[in-house]
Amino acid sequence: MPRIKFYIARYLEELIRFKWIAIGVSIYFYARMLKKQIVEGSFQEHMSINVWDISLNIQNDSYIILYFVIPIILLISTTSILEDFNYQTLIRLGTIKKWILRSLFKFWKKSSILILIWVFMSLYMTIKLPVSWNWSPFSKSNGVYNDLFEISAVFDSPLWAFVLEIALLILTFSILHIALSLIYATTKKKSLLLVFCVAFFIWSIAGFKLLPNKFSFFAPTTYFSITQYFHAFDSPIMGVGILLGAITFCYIYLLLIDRNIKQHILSTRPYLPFLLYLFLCVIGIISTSFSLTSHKNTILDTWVISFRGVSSNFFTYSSFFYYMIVFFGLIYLFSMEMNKEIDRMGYYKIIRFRNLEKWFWSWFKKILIKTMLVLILLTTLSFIIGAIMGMKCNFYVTDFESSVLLIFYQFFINGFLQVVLYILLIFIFSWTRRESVQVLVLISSFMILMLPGVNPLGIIPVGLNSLIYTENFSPFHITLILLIANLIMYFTIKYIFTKNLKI
Amino acid sequence: MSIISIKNVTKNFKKNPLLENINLDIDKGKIYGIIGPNGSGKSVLFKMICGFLFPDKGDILIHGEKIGKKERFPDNFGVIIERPGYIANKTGFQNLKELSLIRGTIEDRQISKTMKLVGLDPNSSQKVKNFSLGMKQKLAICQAIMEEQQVLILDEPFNALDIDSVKRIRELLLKFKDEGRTILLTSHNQEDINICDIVYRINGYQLEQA
Repeated sequence: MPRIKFYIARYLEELIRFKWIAIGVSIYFYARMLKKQIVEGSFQEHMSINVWDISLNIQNDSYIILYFVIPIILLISTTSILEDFNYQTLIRLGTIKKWILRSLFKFWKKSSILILIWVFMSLYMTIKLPVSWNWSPFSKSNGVYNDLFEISAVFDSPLWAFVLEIALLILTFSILHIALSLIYATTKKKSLLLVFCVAFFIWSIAGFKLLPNKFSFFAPTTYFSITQYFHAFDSPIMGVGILLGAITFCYIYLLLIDRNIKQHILSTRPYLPFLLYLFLCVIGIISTSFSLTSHKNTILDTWVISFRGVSSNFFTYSSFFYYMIVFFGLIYLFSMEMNKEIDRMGYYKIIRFRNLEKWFWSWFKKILIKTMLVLILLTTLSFIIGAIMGMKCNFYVTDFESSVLLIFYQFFINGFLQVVLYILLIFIFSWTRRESVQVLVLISSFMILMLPGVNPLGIIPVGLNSLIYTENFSPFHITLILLIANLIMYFTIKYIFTKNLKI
Repeated sequence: MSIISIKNVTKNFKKNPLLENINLDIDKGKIYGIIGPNGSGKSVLFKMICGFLFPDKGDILIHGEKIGKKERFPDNFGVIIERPGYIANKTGFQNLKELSLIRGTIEDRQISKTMKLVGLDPNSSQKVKNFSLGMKQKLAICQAIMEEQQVLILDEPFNALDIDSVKRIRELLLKFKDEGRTILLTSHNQEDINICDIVYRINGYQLEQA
């Protein structure tokens, strides 16, 4: 109990400080001017007003928000963060998360006073005006001096608009303060915090003055005013989604802020190339989905069109580049792994295996398994993305004449054989040349061999796993070519293993 | 079990090594001194123990728990690291009161008692912005001990103190040790280190017993 009394005393002490009186007076004069405008407007339009016209307009006035509320809130937030972020406080709280939540509480001690003053002034200006629980005719009109037109259509009673305005302010203020706290707790740089505040303020002004209506959801002022909120969003659910998204992001960051993120990031570093590769593959599949028609195409179409590839008879730049990303990107990742085996530990391991073929197989079998897993993953991702993008979940292909089974065969069996061939070629090149740059030269030559007109008979074993080949060639013919090519590579490797190692 | 265990900790500063493969076990009820030249990493070591910084490699365990796993900062630690932040427009007592409200484990009289112990007047209306360096240091010591914290991490606790205050604080620390509290401190002054049971030196990025 004494603690609560202490807090109440501190709150009242803060309330009567000169700065709040000054703010109150400033808002009073502006609000008076606004009231005069609204009253004159109602006379001009011969419509009556009531208390809500004045109070809600003052609470939603963009200039009060831009030039009073936002700067004051930013000031309260930054001063409370900078005052309170110190070792003595952190060690007592135990986590940065608790510090942020405590900081939010302290922030609200001062910002609640701002809201109180603002609301008080908005209500004070309604003295001598008719009291009603309903919208006035002026509120419902689409006049110049009336900003309540849209919300009067949404809410039955202006009281709901009033309540929701307060709720929106509480939510927005809280998100803003938590974001600033997170920035400072992460970076511990005062200058960065201040730069962010200035940028936010400028962005608020720019957003309000410059953004067209359809982009007004980017403007921060949208989230400080219920009238602007409903003006910005066709459906208010989108606005709720944005705010919930912001809260979710803050919440996840709060959960992670006390962890040693750097070590986690460093531990994921070896996986970054693969993650980047996967990201690019996903982007390609999404891009393919956009080109399809959701009510006509299926999830299988998403997969087939994504991995269509190119042939001598069919060539598009998008398919060509996507093939490069998926398959040449994959073999480039494998070549990095292969180089590690050859360059770093190769001889120490070879001497222990005592047999080059055993050594080769010890890591090569892992690459084979990974190849199959990647093909399965790409297929799964295509189906999932296709489904999310609204494609029909049917198991047929609309754009290809080949049967689904043959397409699966082409993708998995011939795809597997083709990737293995690429890897074996790269291995031979790396083993004999010992310069990884030359692997890129090899991959570039693969690309040239895939250009239109270069491989009309489909016998050069490059790019033969493109799904488009099923339209003109038998997948079994392709399997035969790839098997022969792989066998040649196998015997080549056996041969080079009989030669001197390049130490 | 050691109260604090530092295992193979390495810390770099802008890609330059600061501390390398530090191993240290701190047992309860002793005073440990860490000495080393300026910039050798004493404060960084203390910050890592308190969870304010993470090591680049290795682990720090407090009561057997890895720092940052459950709670980011260890419980029941009194800390003086670098210059503390105060609310400049409040008195020393008001500043300590602000801190005591976080955990709510002590009353005003405990704050007053601690202030008197270190030589500060709890009833003084002097604002912290007008405190001398020595007074601010005493206030820092106050906040580190007022809640009867069992582990004290004190980076140069005797800085800016007059001779009598130094003597007083030394006696206080020895008393805390007898009560079973664990103290880690750094100092440039050999006399301050004399109260330590065990002294370590940071030499060439390594920690060695002096």
